[in-house]
Formats: sequence, structure tokens, C-alpha cells
Amino acid sequence: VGEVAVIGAGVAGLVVATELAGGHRVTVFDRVPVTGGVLGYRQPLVRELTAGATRAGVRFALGTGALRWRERQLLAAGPAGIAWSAADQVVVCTGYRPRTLAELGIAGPRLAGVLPVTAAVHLLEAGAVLGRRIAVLGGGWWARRLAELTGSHTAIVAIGDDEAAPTFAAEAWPSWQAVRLRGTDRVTGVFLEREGATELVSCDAVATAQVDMPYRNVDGALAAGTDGAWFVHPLEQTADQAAAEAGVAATTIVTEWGGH
Amino acid sequence: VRDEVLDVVVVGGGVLGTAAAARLAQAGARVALVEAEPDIAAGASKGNAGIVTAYYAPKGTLEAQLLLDSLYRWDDICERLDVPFDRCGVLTVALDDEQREALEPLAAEQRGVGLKPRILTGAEARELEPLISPDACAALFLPEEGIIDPFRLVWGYAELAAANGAEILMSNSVIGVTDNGDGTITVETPRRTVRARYLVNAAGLGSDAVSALAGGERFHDWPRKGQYWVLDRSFGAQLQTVVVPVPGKITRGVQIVPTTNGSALLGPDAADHEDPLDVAVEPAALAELLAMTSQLIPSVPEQTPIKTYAANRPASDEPVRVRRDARRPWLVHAFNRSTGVSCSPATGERVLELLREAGLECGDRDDVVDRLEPVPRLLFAEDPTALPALDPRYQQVVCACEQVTAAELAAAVESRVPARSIEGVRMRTRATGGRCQGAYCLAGVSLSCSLAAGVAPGAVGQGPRAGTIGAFGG
Repeated sequence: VGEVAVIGAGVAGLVVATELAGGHRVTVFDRVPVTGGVLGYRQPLVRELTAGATRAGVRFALGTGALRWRERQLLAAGPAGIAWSAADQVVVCTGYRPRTLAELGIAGPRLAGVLPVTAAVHLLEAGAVLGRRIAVLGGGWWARRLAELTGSHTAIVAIGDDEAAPTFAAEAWPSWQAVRLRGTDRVTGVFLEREGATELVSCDAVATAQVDMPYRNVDGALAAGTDGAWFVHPLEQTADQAAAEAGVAATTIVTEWGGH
Repeated sequence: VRDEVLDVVVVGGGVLGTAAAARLAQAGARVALVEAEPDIAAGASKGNAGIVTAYYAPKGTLEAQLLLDSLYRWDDICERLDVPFDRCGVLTVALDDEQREALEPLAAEQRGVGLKPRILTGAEARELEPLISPDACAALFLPEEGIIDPFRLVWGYAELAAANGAEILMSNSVIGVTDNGDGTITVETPRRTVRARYLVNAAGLGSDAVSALAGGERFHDWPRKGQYWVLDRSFGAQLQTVVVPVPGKITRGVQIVPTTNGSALLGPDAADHEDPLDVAVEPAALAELLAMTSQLIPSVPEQTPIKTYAANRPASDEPVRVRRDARRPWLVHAFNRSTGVSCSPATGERVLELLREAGLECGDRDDVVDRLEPVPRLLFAEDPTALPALDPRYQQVVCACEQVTAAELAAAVESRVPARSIEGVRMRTRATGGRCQGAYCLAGVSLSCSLAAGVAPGAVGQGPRAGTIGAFGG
């Protein structure tokens, strides 16, 4: 029996924590003060999983961000202060983040009006007006959420989304790839490429929405292969799919641990 | 106070302008610093590799003298201005016999100005920096050089200037300089008119235009674009020293640089062009950077890049122009093509001397502010658990990647020369600059800026210049 820190209280973290609670002392950390992660705490599935984890003996350190892990100690910051606590193993369940411009290989100047879709959504929720014609690079849950928030006076140009024409898009460029930004102070357009052809899409904002990079931010538990650090990467899709995948991943981890 | 006559107007909020303003204000001069962009360090001062150079020009040149006069002051300056600095040394790596033979003449030049370079065998070099290529056959280690946070340095100079009474005017591009004929000049921007006795031209890539406006000498400066990769802290933490190739004819070559915030930089390359606003990154050049640096450290291509960017440094036929103007007795130039950061302390000093020669009357004040209150950083705190006792806002981590707290953010937006944009916060705190590039904290940072500046979140500046997060400034 050891101390296990599960980082991230989304569906994956909840499932993993519950699975492990039988044989270990498990604490779930999340930097926001509720469980559920990207799905939100109102989801019935999230409530059910949270209740299940609690029944299984899982402890929660919510609103407490894990920062560093070294020598089997985890540094975390939250309402109770900044403190080290014992963590023989850490399981990183912090989901995915949008790819950065560097990761997308997008050339051109670094401009105002170009935002990771996650930040764009939070800003829209805070009432900011990001643009009248937003180029969204990539599809998925966050792109749809952005479209919901922008309303009918904003046109969404969907770029590179595999769906032929997302219903929220006023214009779609499926299977085209954004290669370059245009503008001096603020973005005014995105150059696209497909099979040697180039097109320019005009816009007044860009959201990078290819949300498929594992989000890693606990120093000391960044790379696969780190002894005692485990990584789970749930896909976003629907709650059921996410739960299923997280469950599979959790089972795999538990199995691997057997021989560890 | 419209009719007040100041002593000096400094044009340019880069490293030389702020260093000069800080030194002049400490000496008791009444100073205004005017900067065209919305924040300090908007030009070459943010697009550099953050290296403190000891040797870049032959003995006897002005540049060599400014470098040496600055070199031994860094520990003291950085301690007083709360600027991260590490004299980690620079390792020049030779990969073949021809390069190896170039090391000894270089070392001799460095010894000639009083430095203590060491020639190393390949094995000794690998012991010092285990990451370098097995092809390294020799190396030159210069222990006097180091790394510095160039933004925090500019911010420190600007804060010090402001603490000693200098007025800092952002978003004020100079559009007119008039000699009033009575020992005063009038400097105009679209928003302000300032009278003074002297002008310091530290406008970087705008230096030629400012000199022309002032009726001073005519010269031509042009942009030399450099591109960079920023690599993750997981790589930066492994680097022991700055790793550079044997220098070429024009520049020092593409470098691998650990930064004071723990990440690593690859760059810069050098491409002369004519558009100072062109800071586009180009995939071909970035690929070339990777290829060149992986000759020095083979594991470079396996690392995680977190950002690419480009910046322009000012190139000129007169690479270091720190002197009085030949036409206007009240005009002093402070210009540097590449080693601006490394020369900045001595350049500030030299500007004061030149202005005194020109007739500026000021001595050192006895009520001078010569240090800034340090802001502890969670990421680098010796005992992070002690921070909440100083300020409970240390418990609230805003930027998870760079571990920047609400306390550090508050210090950035509430200072004398405050951050008013995402870029400004990033330069002062590193927030939004980490591996997720603001995916999780950019919205929160913009809310902090909007509260501090009293504007809507969408009206907060985002890019390097005047662009805002929202499309309509709201």
C-alpha cells in the first residue's frame, strides 16, 4: 500500500482513482475546485463517478494544483497553502490541450487575435467579442463550444476539420491545412494549402482547436518512462466514450503495475 | 506641466534607452523616456538570446570597451534590479580540424582584453557539457560570459528610472524635434509635447529616422532578422552552459542557450532585409536552425519545441554608435547592432558622460533609489512553502506550465512600469510563455490586465504591438 496522487479530477482521474483505491491511499488533485474536468461537474456521469470514488475511499484536493514531483514528494498549491505531500506514484490524468502554433508548424508573424481555443472559449464566456469571422483550425468539442458562444453575428470558418461541413460553420475548408498567418498587429487572414494549391481565408480572429496534445505540467512527471509516473490521455468525444477509454486505460495501468 | 523644461528626453524604451534613462535619473537629471510601442522592450531588446557577452569585437574598439566595462558589474546590477542572471560560461565547440585551429587565435584575442578563456579537448568539453556531439574535437570555454533575462533587465532599468522620477511615456512615437534656439528643444509625439535640453537617440531600428527628424546626422540602419526556437524546460534543465559554433565572419552563429527561466533557445540566424515590421517565422529557416544546432547537440531534434519566433536587431555601417551627433550639440546617439544587452550598463554610463561634456549639469543625488524590491518567484523559490506567508496570492497558480502565481502577476500589473498586455505579462512573469502557450491561463491573465487597466478583457493588448485580444477593442 502506497500513496498515489492522481492529477486531474476529470472522468479519467475519477475512474483511475476509484480503481486504485482498493490497494492504495489515493488523493485526486485538480487545480479547479470541482470534479469533472472538461465535461463539467453538472454531468450526471461525473456526479456518479465522484460519489463512487468517495465511497471507495478516495480523498480529494480540489482547487489545488500539482506543481512538482520529486523524491516521492508532490508539491501542490491551493487554498490550504503550498505544501509537499507523500506520493509514491503519480498518475497524470490532465487530458489534452490545443496544439501550439509551433506544434502546428504555422509560419508568419505572431499576432493579436490568435488564441488557443480553450482561452477563446473562456474569454467568450467572460463576454469578450473576439471577432466577426473566426477561423477555427481543427474541430471537435472545443470548436463546437466556441461556435455556441459566438452566436449568429459571428461567422465560423472551419479549417482542416475532417467533417465535411460542421453544422456550425458558415464556411468550411475540410482537409486544407493552415500554413501561415497574415497581418501586422492583428491577424487578418490564414493561408491554406492542399495538394500544392494555396488559398487565403480572410478573418479577424483565429482559434487553434486541434486539441490532441497530452497536457503535461507537473515537473518531474513529464515524460513517459519516468519511474513511478503514469499517464492517461482520455479523448474528449462523449462522456460514455471518454469513460470507456479511461476505464480501459486505468485497467491497463493497474495490470502493468502488477509487474512493476 | 506644459512649460516645464526637462533635462533629457530619451527616445526608445529598449535596453539602451532604459539603461540611459535609469542612469540619468539616478544622477538627478529630469528625464522623460518616450517609446513608440505600447510597452518597453518591444524591439530588438526582446528578440535576443539573453546572453551576456564578454568578447565580440577586437581590442581598442568602442564595443570591446563597453563590453568590458559592463562585464564585471552584472552580479551587482542583477541583484539590485531583481534580474535573473547566471554566469554559466559559453562553450565554443569545434567539430573538425579547421575549426579547432580557429580556437587558439580567438582565445588569444580574448586574453588580450583580460579574459580567461580555456582551450579544452573534446573529452574535457564533453565533461563540461555532456550533451555535445561526439564529433566535438576541441572547444573554447569562456567562463566570464553568462545568461540573463533580457526583458527583466529592461523592466528593471525602466522601474529604476521611474523610481528616480523619470516619466515613462508609452505609445508615443516621435514625429518632430525642434531646436528652439534658446538652449531648449521640443519633442513632439501625436499625444505629447515635451521641452528639454538634450535628446538621447536610443530608438534602435528607428534611430536613423529620429536622427533625421532632429536635424542630426543622416545614416541608414536596417533590420537583421533572427529566428528562434524555444525548447521545453525538460531540455533546458539539462544544459550546463551556452553552446555555440566557431564564429563565422558576420555573426557568432546559431547558438544553443539555456535561459534563466529554465527553457532553452536555438538561434538566431541572420537575414538582412528592409521591413522592420517583418517578424514572420519561416519553416525553411527554422528547419535550418534545427539542422545547424543538432550538429553541436545531437539530441536537439528530439526535444519539445514550445514556440518559434522572429525578431529584428538593428544592423548598421556603424555597429556601435554611442557618441555625440556631429551636427546637433544637444543630441547623443545610443545604438548597438547586437550586443545591446551586454553593453547596456556601460552605455548608460557613457551617455551620462557625453551629456555632461555637452553641458548637462547634474551630480549624483543623495536620495537616489538604487535597488528594487525583489518579487519572489514560485518556480525558483528555495522554499516554496514559505511564500504564502509573504502574500497569500502565492497559493493561486495562474500559469501552470511556468508556475506563475497571482502574486507575481499582481507585481507585474501594479508596478511603476506596468504590464498592460499579454505580451507584457509574459515578459515580466513568463505567464502564457510555457509549453501550452496560454491555452489554460491566457483568459485569466487577460482578466488580470483588464482589471488593472480598467478596460474590457477584449481590449487587452495581445501581440507585440498594438493589437488587442478582441476584434473591436472590447
